[in-house]
Amino acid sequence: MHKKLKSQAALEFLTTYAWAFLVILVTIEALYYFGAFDFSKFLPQRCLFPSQFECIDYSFVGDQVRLRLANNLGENIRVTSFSITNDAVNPLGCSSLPASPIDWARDTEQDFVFSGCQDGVFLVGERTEAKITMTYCSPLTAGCPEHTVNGKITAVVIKP
Amino acid sequence: MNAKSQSALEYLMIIALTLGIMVPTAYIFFQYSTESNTKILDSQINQIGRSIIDTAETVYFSGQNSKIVLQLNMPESVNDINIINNRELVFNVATDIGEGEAVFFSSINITSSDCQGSICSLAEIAGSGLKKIKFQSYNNGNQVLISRS
Repeated sequence: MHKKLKSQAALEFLTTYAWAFLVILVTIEALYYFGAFDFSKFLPQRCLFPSQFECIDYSFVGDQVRLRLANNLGENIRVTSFSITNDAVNPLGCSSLPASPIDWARDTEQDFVFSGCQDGVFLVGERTEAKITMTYCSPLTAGCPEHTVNGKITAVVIKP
Repeated sequence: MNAKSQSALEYLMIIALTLGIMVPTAYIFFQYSTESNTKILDSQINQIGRSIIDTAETVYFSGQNSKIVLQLNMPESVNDINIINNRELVFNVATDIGEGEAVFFSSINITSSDCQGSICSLAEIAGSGLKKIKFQSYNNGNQVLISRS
């Protein structure tokens, strides 16, 4: 009888412990769901491009990604194509990319606008990321061989 | 019993607070250091690219039979180096943003000893570490040959 009482107490202790554990797990999951562990919101907004294409200004406005780059290559170039994406499950895509080809003189700045952007957590008030790939060539080089440059913008989407 | 549980609770609260400060700080530090690494790599490649072009131009304008050996410390993210059409020095670089190219344009005719069509490979100087690069006047002073010393 004494042994039975002891095992009952042990079982009750374990049951209470399991309940407490379950409550803690649910609390942590709820905090995670509401973004309490999303520490990226504490990071500043940034635009990272190679210094040959210095990022002067950038913004995510409405359904647009706006970008201003400087041509620091020391060479007149022709931009031949653009692409935009991110690492989300449904990656970012824009229906309207900047017109190409664009002739871009050295030591000048150029604005690029990607419109109709959706998916990839591209929502007003949300912090998101855009990976931009640009191909260009130098018309002075025979055959204008293409080169690729990558950049990344992390910013909060604001209302237009 | 009460005092014991109070101290246990205080202990748990201190651990929770410490973790609450440490985890976001570590995350933010990691993000900053990744960005900083990308910027440092970009800066190193710019410096190396400009040095190679400047040295090649110095050898070219010094005339026939001139030669310079340059020592450069190549970062590890440079996968390949090519000369295209004897005027574009192209570094293939892998960063956390993706694989891209850093291009340096030369005003003089540059070449390497491993050419196939319009592309001359300088793969021998890619890869991390200290590299000795030889620049010598070539083809009666009309070209500069870049190779590993």
